[in-house]
Amino acid sequence: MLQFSALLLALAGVGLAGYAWLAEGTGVTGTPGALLALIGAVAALAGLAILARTPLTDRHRRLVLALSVLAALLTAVAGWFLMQDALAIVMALLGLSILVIAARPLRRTAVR
Amino acid sequence: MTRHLSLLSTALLCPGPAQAEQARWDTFNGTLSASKFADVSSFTPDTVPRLERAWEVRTGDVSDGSGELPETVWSATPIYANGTLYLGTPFYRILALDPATGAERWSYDSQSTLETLTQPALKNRGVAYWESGATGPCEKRVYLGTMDAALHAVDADTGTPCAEFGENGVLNVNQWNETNAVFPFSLLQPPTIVGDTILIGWSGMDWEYTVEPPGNLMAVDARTGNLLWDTGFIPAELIPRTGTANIWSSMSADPDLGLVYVPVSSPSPNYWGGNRLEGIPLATSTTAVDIATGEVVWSFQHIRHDIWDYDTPSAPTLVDIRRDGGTVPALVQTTKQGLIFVLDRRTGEPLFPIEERPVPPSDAEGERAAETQPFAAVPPPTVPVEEMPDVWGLSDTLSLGECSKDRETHRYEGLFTPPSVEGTFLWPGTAGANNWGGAAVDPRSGILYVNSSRVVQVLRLIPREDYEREVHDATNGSIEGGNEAGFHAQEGSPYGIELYEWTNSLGLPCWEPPFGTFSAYDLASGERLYEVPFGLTQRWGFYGMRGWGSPTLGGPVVTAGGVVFIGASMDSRVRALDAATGQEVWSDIVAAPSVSIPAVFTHEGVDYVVFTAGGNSILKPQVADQVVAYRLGSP
Repeated sequence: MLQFSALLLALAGVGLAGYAWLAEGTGVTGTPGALLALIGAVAALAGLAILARTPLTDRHRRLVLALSVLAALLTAVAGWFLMQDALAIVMALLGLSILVIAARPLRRTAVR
Repeated sequence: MTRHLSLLSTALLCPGPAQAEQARWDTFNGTLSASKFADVSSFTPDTVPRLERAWEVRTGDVSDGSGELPETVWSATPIYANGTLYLGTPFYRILALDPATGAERWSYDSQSTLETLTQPALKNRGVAYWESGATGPCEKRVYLGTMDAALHAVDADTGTPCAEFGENGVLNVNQWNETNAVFPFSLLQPPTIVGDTILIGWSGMDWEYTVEPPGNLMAVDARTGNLLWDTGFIPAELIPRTGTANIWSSMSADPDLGLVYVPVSSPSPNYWGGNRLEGIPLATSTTAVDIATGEVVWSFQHIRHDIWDYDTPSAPTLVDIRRDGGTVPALVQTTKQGLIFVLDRRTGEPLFPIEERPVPPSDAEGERAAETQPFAAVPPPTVPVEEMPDVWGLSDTLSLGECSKDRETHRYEGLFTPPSVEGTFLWPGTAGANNWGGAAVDPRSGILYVNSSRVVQVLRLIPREDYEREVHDATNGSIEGGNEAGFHAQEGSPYGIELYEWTNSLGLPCWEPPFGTFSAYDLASGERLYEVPFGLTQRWGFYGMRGWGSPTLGGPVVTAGGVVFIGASMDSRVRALDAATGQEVWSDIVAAPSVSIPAVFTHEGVDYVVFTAGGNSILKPQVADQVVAYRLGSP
């Protein structure tokens, strides 16, 4: 359930970052900063998708989690400096969600 | 305590709601007094959060310079007159819009060449309006100047050229460019019109040549374009050796006194004055000229022997100030160097003490800097001129001490440190602490409002024998690209120059924030009431911290309801500030920095504030062609 919520947050993040970059009148339309935020949001979404769909070793799982958290939190910071408050909040929540996912014990059945 | 009393007096003087109205906003500065005061009381700090877009128009006249056309720079004040909103564009067209809807009533294309003949970009600061008082064709006119020195006159109702003006509605102002004519008289600033007299200044390129057209003010008949008089600002014996000291900015006028107040710029070349050591008393001055005769009535020189390009950038603001139980007709001149001069506009006499202070000598070949310069301590300068800002720790750390090293390398001995071969810190920078936006004043309270920039530049004289090689090296062989890289030839002088902002290798400013402020002054006492960081910097989309402020271009308008409207900031926002505190009470994002003065007026009983968002590469590389009108929404 938490993983599903995180996926929704990541999707929202991609949508908000895409809107900031593409839509007129956001104050950051077409800027490198907004593009960077979009890339960060997509990276976090990709990380979560990999976690959900791909069997991983512990080591790889930890690596993907760490990269996803990093992408989410850096995008949250970028969102704050881009004055895209909704993006910053969504990506910060996403980062926290991924941290919680990382802290939960693994069900060791998928990988042999 | 005084501050609170002053602010209280502002509040008490604000009339009740929905009483006042601004029937016209028909010059670059709103009115001939350049007070930028709008007698509109519906816009208050409490109501402006309800501002909503009434309409938005894109003119289509914009270029970022990436295609065949040069970049555009657009700083037009929308003119409200004759129940219509008039705009000039950087493609030298006039648009007449319905103020309520933005619908186009007519447009006029001057067919002017779209070449950057004297400027790095296609520029326009708007149009001028005149009416005779009679009815009939061309009894109301709109005038548009062009880069190639043509002044167009069209009928304000139809956009049809007024045939009796010049030749079929076009006056060739360059016919009077007879001396040292190395460039045309570019008419980028709309002329000032007093009665039936059109007062015309021009723009040039005083960073390129030593000998250039001598600065002058021309008066022509509003009906015919016939020259009435032509007043020069450079002594005849110096004209073969120098030039400019022109009027590129707006003017103000007091029709009752019969005087026009002109901001005279610096002579050529900008940064070396060995060709004009005798001094040019009218250069870098505020000068009062008799509108009827062209005679110079008085002149106040802000800078002796200007070698910093601190030319007088804006129309002086006219206001009557309280003094010894009465009022004095005064004039307030904000300057690029950040000093505020308050003068009696009848005589030019200072109304606050002005001190002549010794300033550093020059070590450049053939140069002799003035020994003293005038300093006004009251009102306090708009930026701290006693000492340049400290090195910014953040920027210095990130660049591993690059900024600190620069600070020790380049020359700085206070305001008016002369240009040098080793590089001189130019503080404030040549875009000025204050520029063409000037100041606004509430005539009821005598409180002055002004936005200011804090930018440090490095100016380096390059000996002539090294100049071409240095430009070649810096631009990978493109001498033509030198201007964009900050090089200027100053042909005919022993030095070319390089001018750039003092940044580290990462592009961060090396000087401490704030980078821009907004201030209010009580002109009766000369006291500064407040000074707050204003605007936001922006780079790659990322915004700076609020406390850093932003460099600004463009000016404020103050309203009777106690609100200041201003664009000007780097972050492409237009804002309303509470005039009593300088705090932001409303903002909106527009398409590019609004580097102009907004128009505030009442049309068919509804109050509007209209901004043009055109951008200017001095702030950031973002241009647009947007006109946005706001009015109050429902409570």
